[in-house]
Amino acid sequence: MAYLDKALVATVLGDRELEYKYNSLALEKEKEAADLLRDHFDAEPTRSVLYRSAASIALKCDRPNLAEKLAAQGLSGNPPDDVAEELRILFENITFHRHLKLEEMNLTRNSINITLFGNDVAHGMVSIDEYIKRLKTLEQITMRTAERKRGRPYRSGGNPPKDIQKLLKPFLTLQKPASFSATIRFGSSQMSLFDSDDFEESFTDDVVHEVVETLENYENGTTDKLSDRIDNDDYYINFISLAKKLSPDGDSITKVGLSTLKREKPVILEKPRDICMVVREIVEKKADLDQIPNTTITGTLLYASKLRKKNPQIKIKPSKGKAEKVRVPVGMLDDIVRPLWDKQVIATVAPDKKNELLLVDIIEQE
Amino acid sequence: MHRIDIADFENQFDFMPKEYTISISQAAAVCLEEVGHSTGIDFVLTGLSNETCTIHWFQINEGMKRPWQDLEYATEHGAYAIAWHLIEYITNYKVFERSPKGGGFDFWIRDPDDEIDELNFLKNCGRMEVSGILNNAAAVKARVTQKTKQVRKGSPAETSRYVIVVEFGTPISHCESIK
Repeated sequence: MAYLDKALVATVLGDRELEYKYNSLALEKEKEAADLLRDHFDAEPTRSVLYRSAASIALKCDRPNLAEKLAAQGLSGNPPDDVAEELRILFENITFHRHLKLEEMNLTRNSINITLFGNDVAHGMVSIDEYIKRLKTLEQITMRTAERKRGRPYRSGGNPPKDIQKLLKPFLTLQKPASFSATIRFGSSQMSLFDSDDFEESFTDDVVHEVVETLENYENGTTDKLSDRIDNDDYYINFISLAKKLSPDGDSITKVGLSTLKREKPVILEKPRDICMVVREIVEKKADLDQIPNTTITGTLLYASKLRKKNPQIKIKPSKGKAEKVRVPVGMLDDIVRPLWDKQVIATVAPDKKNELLLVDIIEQE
Repeated sequence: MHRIDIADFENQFDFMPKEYTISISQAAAVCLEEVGHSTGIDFVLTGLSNETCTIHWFQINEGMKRPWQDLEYATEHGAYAIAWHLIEYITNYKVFERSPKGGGFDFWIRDPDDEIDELNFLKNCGRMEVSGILNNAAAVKARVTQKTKQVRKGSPAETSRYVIVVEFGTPISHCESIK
């Protein structure tokens, strides 16, 4: 455990090499400890917990085969029910990690493979809502990234520009039966040898790479790196709002894995994140926020007014009481708020400098 | 009045590595200062213990803040440090070992007077789930309910099980024993 804690400290400090080194040392020790109890089937819960721990660290070290063997050893004894359940869940986790591996995929440079894992994902089945929502969100993030990289001003409404749509038209390929892993290819459905434009292909590859890199920054909380990549406030708010929508909810979907050809390691989104304070800080430029907590309004999203282009508004009508006017950050209106018109929503709001309500997060009420 | 001194945590937790304890102690101090507190502030305990303590910490420098720029991460780990202290203070259990991810709880805890079985060292250990909230006292009750459900699902009823939620804004901490 001491090595694991050192690995954690290395994670905090952002030293990936040291993190891997300590995780590997921890794996060696944990496996050694577990194997000491291999034939001691009455030493429970310690035996199965040690195997579970070793299997979990093996997965962190990207060794799914070893993880599988260790988890099987744990189950082969007399684990208590709760640890046995954890070991079974670990098996599913190992399968998820296998699906992120690229060997069996026919990935091209302009593709992103997305893999879902969670309570709503079983062999060959996934909740339609969760799946479609995440495919559409990934498409939106990619389009916005392309527009940003092309230096276009932030688009507060309407479809992406025709040239971007043409360059990055998404095509879905289903991979790997009995999993929920699919590949989105951006650009032409065929890689033509004769009329491909190297510059356009290179741009598409760049966009795909940028999408996954920025999502990694988001997941790791490296906001300084994210701000360096996205230095426009509207694009930034749009990105983190969409990234949150793509991320797991912690229950029906617990992991979202993203693989590309260019990256050795996939990005795994695991943490449901709270973006409220980030949105407030950007919009309100960090002025006097700490004293004023967020509140929530639950009700029907009635309309959005885009007439005030710089300060679009929505109205939320609770079941009792009057409708509340709420100001919406430009980066959230089109991709996050608009799809929720006329739906029951839970909006997180905060009073701004002028004492109007500012929207910092919104989700559909289930 | 009980005094929580974060500077003392370094030498308090015999079973946990010092470097990690120091790191998460700094996370706790960073969180307290992030929400605008100064050392010596009142710290409210509810649940198994209902009292007001005071909480004290060392001066923070820029080096200490640097690894904890991600406040969600800082809140989670800062809460660990406070919870490790509180479980000892309230129940006499000591934090013993981290539980692997996905286990339904965060830490194994043990009675320091219990003899450790060298082979089966987790025998008779209790379990503790810790959760941190940076600045939202209204969320504490819901978080306790959520974590209680999680621990109940993930561990046998005959073991000692605790949930500790630490909220830095008030600051307040709720400790619950789960039957």
